Amino acid sequence: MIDVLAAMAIVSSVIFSLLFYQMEQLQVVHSALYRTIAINQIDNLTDMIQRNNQSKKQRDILSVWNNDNSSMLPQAVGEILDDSSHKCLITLQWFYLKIQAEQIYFRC
Amino acid sequence: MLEIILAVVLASMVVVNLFDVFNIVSRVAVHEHVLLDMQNKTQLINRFLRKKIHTAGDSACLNQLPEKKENKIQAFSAHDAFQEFGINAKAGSDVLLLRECVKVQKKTQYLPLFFYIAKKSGAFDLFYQMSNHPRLLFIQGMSRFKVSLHSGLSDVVIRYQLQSIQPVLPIKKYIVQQGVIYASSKITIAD
Repeated sequence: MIDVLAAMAIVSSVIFSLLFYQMEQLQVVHSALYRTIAINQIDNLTDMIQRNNQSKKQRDILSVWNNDNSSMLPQAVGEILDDSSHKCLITLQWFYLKIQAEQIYFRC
Repeated sequence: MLEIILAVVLASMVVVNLFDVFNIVSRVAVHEHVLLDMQNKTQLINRFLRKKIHTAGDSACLNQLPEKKENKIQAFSAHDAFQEFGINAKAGSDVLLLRECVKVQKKTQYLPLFFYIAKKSGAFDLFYQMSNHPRLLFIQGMSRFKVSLHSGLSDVVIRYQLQSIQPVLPIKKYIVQQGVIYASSKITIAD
């Protein structure tokens, strides 16, 4: 009797740990998908900024871009910081399990 | 005897529950696979289309500028694309046309390239077609493809929706993923 229970306990723990591992992997994959979307969005913004270099236009671009961010990433907020030496920093932040972010510098 | 019966009952209860857990594990694995597939497709479509749009209008393979001054990037509704080019795209979707030098049968030619979604064995997929050559399957599982041309923010804005090829259990729903591409042509000589 004890042998059977012990064997079942071992098998159950193995299967449950497999389940938890799989669930964790699913979260990792989801997180990677969001990161890919974020990188694509940063590509989109760099393309738009390089085409339009007037500051008024750039504000419009940022607003359009942030609308797209929030429709594709959970609680996404993006911003662009321009230091006067034509170097811009794009930051895109979103929330999935924890706050995550992607950043890139580019010539603007 | 009682001990054996008790052991068998307990063992069968555990086995039934383990079977359920194993079932969940395999469903999660399928879901994971679908998400990975979406990620790959998102990367592929964004990189490929962005690169194609950047090089649209490249007429370097011609000794002179194209005879007819045609737009290097154009968007058509499915209906208009059918009327003009005989392309059978999904109703309500758009067709993207890019013109550039491409290598076909070991010869570089300035040709129109079409990108559109159409039905193939039940589901809608994204196809890539060079001029009047046979279409090529580019991305499997795409239910939306809208193209708009702007002179303001970017030359081309593409909004698309990827869809899983099969429904995911236990919700039995297709997983969808929205995507957007803003890109501008870097080539100016063909204009």
